Amino acid sequence: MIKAENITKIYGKGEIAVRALHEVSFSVEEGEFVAIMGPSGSGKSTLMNILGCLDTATSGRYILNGTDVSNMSDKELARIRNRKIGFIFQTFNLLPRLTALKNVEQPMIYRGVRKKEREEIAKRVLTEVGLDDRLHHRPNELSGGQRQRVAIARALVNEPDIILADEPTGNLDSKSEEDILNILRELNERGITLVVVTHDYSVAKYAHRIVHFRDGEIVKEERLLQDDGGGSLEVD
Amino acid sequence: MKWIEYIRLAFTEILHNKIRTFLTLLGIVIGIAAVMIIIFVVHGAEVYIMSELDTVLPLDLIQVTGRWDYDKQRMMAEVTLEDMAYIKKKLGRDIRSMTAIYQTDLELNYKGRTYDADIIAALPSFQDFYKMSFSEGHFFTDIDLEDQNKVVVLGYEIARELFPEGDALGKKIDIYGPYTVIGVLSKAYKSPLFTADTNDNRAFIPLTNFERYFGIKDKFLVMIRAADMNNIAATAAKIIEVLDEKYGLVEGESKFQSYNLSDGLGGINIIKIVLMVLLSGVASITLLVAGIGVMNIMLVIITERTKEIGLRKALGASRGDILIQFILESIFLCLLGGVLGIVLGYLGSSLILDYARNFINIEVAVPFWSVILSLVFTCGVGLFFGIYPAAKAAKLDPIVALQYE
Repeated sequence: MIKAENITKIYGKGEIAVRALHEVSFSVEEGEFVAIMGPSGSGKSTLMNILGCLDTATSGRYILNGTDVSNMSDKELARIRNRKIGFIFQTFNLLPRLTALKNVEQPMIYRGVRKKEREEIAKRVLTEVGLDDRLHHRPNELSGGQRQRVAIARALVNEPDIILADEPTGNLDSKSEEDILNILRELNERGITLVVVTHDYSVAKYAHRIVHFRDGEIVKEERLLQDDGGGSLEVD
Repeated sequence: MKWIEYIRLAFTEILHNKIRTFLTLLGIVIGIAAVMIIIFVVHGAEVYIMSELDTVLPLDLIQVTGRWDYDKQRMMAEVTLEDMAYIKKKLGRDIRSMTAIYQTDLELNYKGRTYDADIIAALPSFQDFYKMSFSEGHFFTDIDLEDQNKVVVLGYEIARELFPEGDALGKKIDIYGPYTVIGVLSKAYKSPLFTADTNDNRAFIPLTNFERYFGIKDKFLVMIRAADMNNIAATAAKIIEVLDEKYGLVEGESKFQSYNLSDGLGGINIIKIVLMVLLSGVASITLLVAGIGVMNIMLVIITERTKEIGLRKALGASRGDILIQFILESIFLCLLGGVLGIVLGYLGSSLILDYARNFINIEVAVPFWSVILSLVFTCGVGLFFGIYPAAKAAKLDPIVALQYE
């Protein structure tokens, strides 16, 4: 699914150049749930940005689902982000003036889906994450856990190849954290490829594999045996 | 598809911060209202001047005469009634009406009372040239013309002087022989703008009667009204052409010439254009300042919504998508100001019209093209001053934008 080869990322030039990633090779198989761990400044966010096509590597190759995206134009990258990648952020990043339904519709607008179909899909996906009674609420009328579920729905609507989550539970209480992680695990069990960046081991342990970062390099990988079927989508 | 969503988004944002939107738009509202009022006032002045001028003489008037021969000191040719019939036959559609007149001063007498009147001997079609309203009776007819009847229509002042009792109709007055009064005119409208003779001092008699009495023929002045107000000069040229053709005259040897008002009216147009340019210049500066205000607020909006821009890029918006979204927001912001400005300009124009009506008699509406112009102008301001902020938004690095707090 994801194949990154010898990815190097250097910010700035000359004396002040900072090397955020050094020849990182990293791959994710289809249907895998991978956690990337590391302290801040370890380069895990930089890798996440490159995997999400928000940034391009200084050198190296990045192949996403068979497509080399290393040297794509802004427009092509926007298209990839729109159709192949779903983002989940620590701060949810919902649009405050729009309802949950409208927020979830946004990625489909850029894909050119018709209004009626957009609404149908958004409703269905919001129902899947348990928000069928919150369709017309604005973000400030929703709890943290509910907001993140709206964000998850938004990441899912264009049926991406992979979902990238950056500290998805960083702003949540422990109850909501468990809900969200259960939803993510459920999604993964349905076959969705998932990459989560976190510095919290209790989050990372939901993954099949944890990749540890330090100083722009992978220092350790560990494989976890998951007790499948443990998660549930049943949330309040 | 996307565009509808962008427009909806623009409205959500514009309506969200009502006070800021209103303050931003104030400049545009005032600028557009000023443009609307300026156009209305200049347009109104033109309409007023033209309508006043039209009470003095028809603006579509063409006069046709023979050419003056300077060597022989006489006319090269005279236009005859038959020529007029020929013109009418050939150019019927280009001509609204045509008439012929003699004009002279004569003393009118009735039972010892006298009046120095302006005598107009004309065809019945003369009625189409000057607004006439009758307090009693009517104008003479084709039958009066054919039979060379001794009938007369009196202007208001003449009737008042000769018949203080108001019993003119049917009486015989002495001009050069007895003439029966068949009509009396009401008081003529006197333009406050132009001083000109009115029908009040005129007496009208059939042309044929006049020709017979003075033993002249075809020395009259031919007056023609063009059907198309905007094509007077062309119609005049066609008339001369038809006459030349009738007499087998080649170009350059024409024995006829014409006069019309379109040259004189050009002066009014120049005044109008100068006024428009001067006043629009002032309005443009207002809109320029307003536009800079809009650009400023768009830059603030984009800074405030940096995170949204980053998010939209993450969700799949290209630079073009962001650019269009913010340009549309800027255009709709300005359009809202334009609509408010049009409403204000309309109200202002109505107030000015009401005030002007205390002094002058005027009927004029806000020209529709000024509404269209205002809308196009505000769209233009929104587009022009929205491009830079929108381009700035489009160029934002999604990662930096997403981390913006």
